[in-house]
Amino acid sequence: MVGSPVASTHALHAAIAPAAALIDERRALYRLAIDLFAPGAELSDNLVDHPIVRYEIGRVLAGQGHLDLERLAGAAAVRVRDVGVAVVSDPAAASLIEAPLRIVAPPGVCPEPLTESDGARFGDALEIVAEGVRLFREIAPQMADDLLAHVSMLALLKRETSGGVVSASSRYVPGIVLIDEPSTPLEVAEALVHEGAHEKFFDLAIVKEFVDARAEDVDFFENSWSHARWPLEQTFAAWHAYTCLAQFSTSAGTEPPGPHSLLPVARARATEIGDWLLEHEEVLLSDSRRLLHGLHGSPAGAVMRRSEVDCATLCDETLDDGHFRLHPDVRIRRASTGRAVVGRATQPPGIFWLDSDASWVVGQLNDETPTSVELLLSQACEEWQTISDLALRRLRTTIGSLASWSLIEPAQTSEKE
Amino acid sequence: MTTPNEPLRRPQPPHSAGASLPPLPTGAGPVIGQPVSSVDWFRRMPTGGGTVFLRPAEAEQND
Repeated sequence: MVGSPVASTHALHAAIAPAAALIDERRALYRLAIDLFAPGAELSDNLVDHPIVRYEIGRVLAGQGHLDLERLAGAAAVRVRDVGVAVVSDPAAASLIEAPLRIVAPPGVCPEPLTESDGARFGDALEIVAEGVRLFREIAPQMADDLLAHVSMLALLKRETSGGVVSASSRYVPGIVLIDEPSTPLEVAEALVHEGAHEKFFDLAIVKEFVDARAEDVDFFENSWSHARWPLEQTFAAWHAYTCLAQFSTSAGTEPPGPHSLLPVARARATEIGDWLLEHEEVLLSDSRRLLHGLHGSPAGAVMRRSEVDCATLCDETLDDGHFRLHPDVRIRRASTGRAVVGRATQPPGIFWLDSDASWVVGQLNDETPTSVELLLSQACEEWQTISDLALRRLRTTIGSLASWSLIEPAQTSEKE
Repeated sequence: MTTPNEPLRRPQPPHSAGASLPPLPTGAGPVIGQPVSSVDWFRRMPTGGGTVFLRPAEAEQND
């Protein structure tokens, strides 16, 4: 272990992005996908938060198939009961949430959802869930606010069909947590911490700078307790969940954990995984590294560096007499935080988050009339309240990076505007 | 909790389906302050894709 945790999980998460901002930006990303593949369609917040809707959009963003709007509308019809979290209650749930049931099922197992068609058995389970949510909020109110914001739906699995699943979630169907038919409120609270941490990670990973394709090139982590081997992304997710569970365990104090609880071992496992992650942090991006350092500790002398590669610059000649416009197939969505997310309907689709300078620059351009760098520079000096030399440097970096990703393109023009 | 919300139109073909993506900038690393950050989360398709906590007797895949 390098050092003791220096901050709580909810404080570190909020420092990277408050939950409300993270969700707002997540919605902007999914709505951008709708702009790309179903232009003109508008989705309510409820619909764009819906796990099955996110699953369907995610498949298209992965380059798998097309967007079926009727399927989205059908998925949104799943009935739920609100007991502090929305619990799937629809008798048709087995088909409506087929995807997460299939993805998390152990081999040879077909978990069945417990629903209102199960009568009093469902009612009894619902009461335990309600009490579990209340207990979570009582034991760790800030953590509950932080994690439950990312849990849109909870599904209960019939105990005789769950195949040993205690709790589960899926990166492909973000927002839904699946748990075994509960026996105690603390089981529910622990499952919401565990899987809520994963849901938080899924949202962080698509909105902030967490992991990229290089994570697939790293050696697998092998844990000491079951000798399971995980790729880096899963290792980071597990570390994050164990860290949240360890913090919850401290808050829970003398509450007796259940027989399958991870609370007694969470700190030791978080430490084991965190130490391994620190040894491999060169492939983590800035925000995941910040989370790791903030919650696990930093190696001595650790510094964040600024990219010298992605901050592409343009030659003076291009800047002196350059004109740019948006690439014609680029679509832009702006979150209420001000951040812009842009997409191109390539195959597979390209999705990009822009920093504040790049968000501003794309807002000045369109895909028809070229805009001169000269004009951008004069506007940038005013917008950024800075002198010309500094504004020019920022513009070079920003325009160069946007052009290198083909989000904007140089344009010929017969005369300066 | 969920409000059915019928989308308004049928999907249209992507504007330039089949176009290739720009190459990753070589050497782009774990850095701060990049003007453009590519989201490749959806393109990565790890096997399984589930994080499942099983009871200890069945726990080989536990996270």
